[in-house]
Amino acid sequence: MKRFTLLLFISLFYNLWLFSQDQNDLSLFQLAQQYERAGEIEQAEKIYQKLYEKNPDYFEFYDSYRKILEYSKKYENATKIILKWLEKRPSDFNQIVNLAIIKFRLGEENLAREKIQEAIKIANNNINVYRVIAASLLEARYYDEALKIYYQARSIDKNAFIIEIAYILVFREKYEDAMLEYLKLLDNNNNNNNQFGYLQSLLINHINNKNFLDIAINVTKNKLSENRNNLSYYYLLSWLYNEQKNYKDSFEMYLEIERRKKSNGYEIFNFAENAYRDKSYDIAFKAYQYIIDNFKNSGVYLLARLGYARVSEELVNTLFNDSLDNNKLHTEIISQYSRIIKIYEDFLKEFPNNQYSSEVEYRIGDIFFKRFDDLDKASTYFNNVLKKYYLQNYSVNSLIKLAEIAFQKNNLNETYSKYNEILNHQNASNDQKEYAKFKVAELLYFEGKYDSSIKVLNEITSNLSSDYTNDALILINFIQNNQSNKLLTVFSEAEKNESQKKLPEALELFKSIVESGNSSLSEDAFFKIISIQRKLKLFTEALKTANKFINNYPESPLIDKMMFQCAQIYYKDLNDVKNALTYYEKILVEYPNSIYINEVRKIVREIKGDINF
Amino acid sequence: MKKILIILVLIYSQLLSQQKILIPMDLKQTDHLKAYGIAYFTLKNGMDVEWLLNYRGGSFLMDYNEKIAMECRLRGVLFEPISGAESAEIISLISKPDNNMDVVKLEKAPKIAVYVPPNFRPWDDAVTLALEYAEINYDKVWDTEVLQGKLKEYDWLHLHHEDFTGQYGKFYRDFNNTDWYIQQVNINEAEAKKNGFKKVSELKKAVARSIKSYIAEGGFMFAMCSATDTYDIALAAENTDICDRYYDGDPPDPDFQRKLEYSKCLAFENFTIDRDPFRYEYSDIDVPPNDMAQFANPDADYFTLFEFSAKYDPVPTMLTQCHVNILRGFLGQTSSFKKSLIKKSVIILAQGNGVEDVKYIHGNFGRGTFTFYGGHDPEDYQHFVYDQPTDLNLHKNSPGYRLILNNILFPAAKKKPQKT
Repeated sequence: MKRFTLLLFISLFYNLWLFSQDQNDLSLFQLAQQYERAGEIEQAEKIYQKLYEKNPDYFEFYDSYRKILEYSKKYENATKIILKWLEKRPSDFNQIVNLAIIKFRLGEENLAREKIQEAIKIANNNINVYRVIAASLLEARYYDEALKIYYQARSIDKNAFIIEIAYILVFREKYEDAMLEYLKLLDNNNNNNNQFGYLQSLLINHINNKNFLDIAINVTKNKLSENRNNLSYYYLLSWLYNEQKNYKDSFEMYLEIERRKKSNGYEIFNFAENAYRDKSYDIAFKAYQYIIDNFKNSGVYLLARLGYARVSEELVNTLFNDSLDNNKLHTEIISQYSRIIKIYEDFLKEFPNNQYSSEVEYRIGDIFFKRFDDLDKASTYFNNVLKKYYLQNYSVNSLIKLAEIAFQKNNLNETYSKYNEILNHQNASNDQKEYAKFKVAELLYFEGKYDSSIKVLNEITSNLSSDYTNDALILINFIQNNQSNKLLTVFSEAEKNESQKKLPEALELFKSIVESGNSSLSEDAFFKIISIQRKLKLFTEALKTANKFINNYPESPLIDKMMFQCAQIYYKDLNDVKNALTYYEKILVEYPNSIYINEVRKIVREIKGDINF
Repeated sequence: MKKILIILVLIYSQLLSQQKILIPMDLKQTDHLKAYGIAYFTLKNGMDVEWLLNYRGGSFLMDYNEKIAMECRLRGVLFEPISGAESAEIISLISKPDNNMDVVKLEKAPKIAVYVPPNFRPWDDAVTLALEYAEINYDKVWDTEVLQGKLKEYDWLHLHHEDFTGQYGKFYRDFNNTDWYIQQVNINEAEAKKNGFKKVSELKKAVARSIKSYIAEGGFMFAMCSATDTYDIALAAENTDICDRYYDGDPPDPDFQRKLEYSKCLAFENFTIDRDPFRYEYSDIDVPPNDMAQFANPDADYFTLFEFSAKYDPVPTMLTQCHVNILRGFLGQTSSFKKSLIKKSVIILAQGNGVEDVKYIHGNFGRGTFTFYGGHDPEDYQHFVYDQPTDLNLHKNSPGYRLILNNILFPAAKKKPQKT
């Protein structure tokens, strides 16, 4: 028993001693780590060395000491301890790789490569070993060496490390090789949409780089010529062309996809819709046309017909948007828009009463209203929308158009009625309701019902998020400033005529305000007269009006605005640069604080170029 | 009678030729920044400009010329046509010993070089923004041009947020996978290889030394943001390696701090390099440190320009010409400089809120000078990567940008004999 007790005590003391030793080492290790973090490398190194020498087989001590030796560029010492470690553990390939990296740093590249091969051999060509080795090389910024290791791994798996290799190649700006790597993702996954989507997500990081995009297209084209049956290449190439804004070639790819996939027009239709959304109308037109010509029995035929009609209208709009006032083009405009109406009407005949009919009828009505100024025919179509499709999307838009037509016809009661109908329409958006409210207020102003107008305008201004709040405030301000002026009724009547496109009548009324002598409204009337005279192409008259203003109101705060008008008439309407410049320079010299000064500076610079002595 | 008429015409034309254009630079000026462009335009066209230091905010005076007047109008610069007599009165006022004012004659449009990499975008850099806005021409130079000695062709060199330590701006932690960072690394590595350097940090050190020689031979160097402290760090670290393996592939010299040679620096001394490769900070020169910048309060961040004697210290006076004395602060990778780390020979031109916070400094080296201005963009308090460029049309009277433009005109000044 005594012996047992003695043994127990000895054992206890020994364990306590061992424990206290371990605790002491652990504390020292933590202290070394603290030194290292604080940048006191020498202190840390001393402790790590001490711990390592005491217990060279304990990995944490060994590894920390090795790392700090490497950090301190004490490569010889680091090599020694790695070799010592490897004596006992010759198959620890991680340490062999660490040794290789040291060799690289010492410039002993051949030896380093030998060591890496040794590590690979030890690990029995396991694919993950290549991954670990390459990662270590990458961390040490030996990109080309890492690349070699990834390539070497292909002796085990020919498709290994595609993304890793491609990434390094992009990093090294070897775009062609990188793209060839990426394409391997599609090589063995013919027509696999998931793989294509994955590749897209990888390429999206690079295609902002124009060089990369151009090379990617060429590489994909070459690949496609080698393997014409892989549909993924067509999708990829089409997408890359789209990114390059080359819709023509993109369309060619989709034609090929359609030929091969025989999707009954669906693939082409998707392409056409995307092109339409991207406002690439020419190519969208071709795509819709192709479906109409080739897939009459397809489920997308109806939608293709509608798309074809829409895009045809957009194409005509782009032709004439800037030249609607040009009489010479009038016949051509009529002919082109008549063709569009025919396309829409054919659609209605062939597909009566479907969910798209309201849009088509609305579009026809809009062409009659906007392009032909044929109010009656336009009304017929807009009323059709209301009658047949009251609860559909285009009914509120049709009501707005009908209100505008009623106003043009000076049928004010009807105009009020239509705007009020919008205010109560269950499908009208808030924005449409605010618009209708503003139009009612404007109408009341035109009719000289100023108090009622202000009341409605005040309602609009209470909604600060409305798009019409500013317009409402301006109109309130104008009415309140001029309400005591008897000529305000004439002015608002003239503005009504102007809005109804009765320009000669409006002109006479504005002139009567000017002729009645100085009033708060005279200056505004001058500007209105000039604006109408310019619309009527009475440019000389407009200049006379402007000069009359300049002579009559030399002290007016609007004199710079009038001079700017003169300059613009000379420059834009009469193409008389010399006289325009006189006015522009006058503004520069005499009105340096004018709100038009920046525009004037820009125009003068445009005319005169850089000044040199 | 004919003779009298000729004499009268001559007298009249003489009077006309004495007419002057005064470009006031006080609060009345409509576009302070473009006014510098007008001074540059005048010099470029072979006419002299007089810089009236401390007179109405540092105004410009030049002979009347209709083309200059028109150019002022086109650029929106306020000017006052004044008579010869009025101009003489102004000069007389300036000359009075009790007035802290002086006239400096500007004679030649300085030839300007901006040190930028090939993938540089003008909106990355406040100086190029200011130059473009003020319509002042400049050329771009980079490492190869500097090493080939091209700087000799220029009067003025600007460095912006370039990193002369070879650590690519220390953006590694957050941006190492982005296209622009990768491109930056590739471009710099290719440039190093082209010039026979193994590491980018070695290339940058050589470039820093070439720039130092350029200054010693009489060049003017103006640096902003991180080009200030990294430039001096690169000079100090000539014989050691401060870059971690993420930047140059091998660990730094563990003893680099001890091996720094401050005597080689232009402006700073006794600084400590930041060892953390992932921390967006180079050293303790920067105030406030970047990781504290989030706590900076833009509304309370101001710096004050010091006043110098115009007649005895014309150079610092030129550099501090402004229509206000207290300016809004702005941050950058290097926002301000720690006062205790600035060499005693360097002149402090502006100081921030704190005792240690110096914003703007100037010094001489050899026959040339250098000026360091902390912060990135005077009109964007905290400019981040991917931020939109500042539109100077909205900051025509920016005092912060004015300081930059003072530096551009400063090399145009005719050297006067020293009074002290």
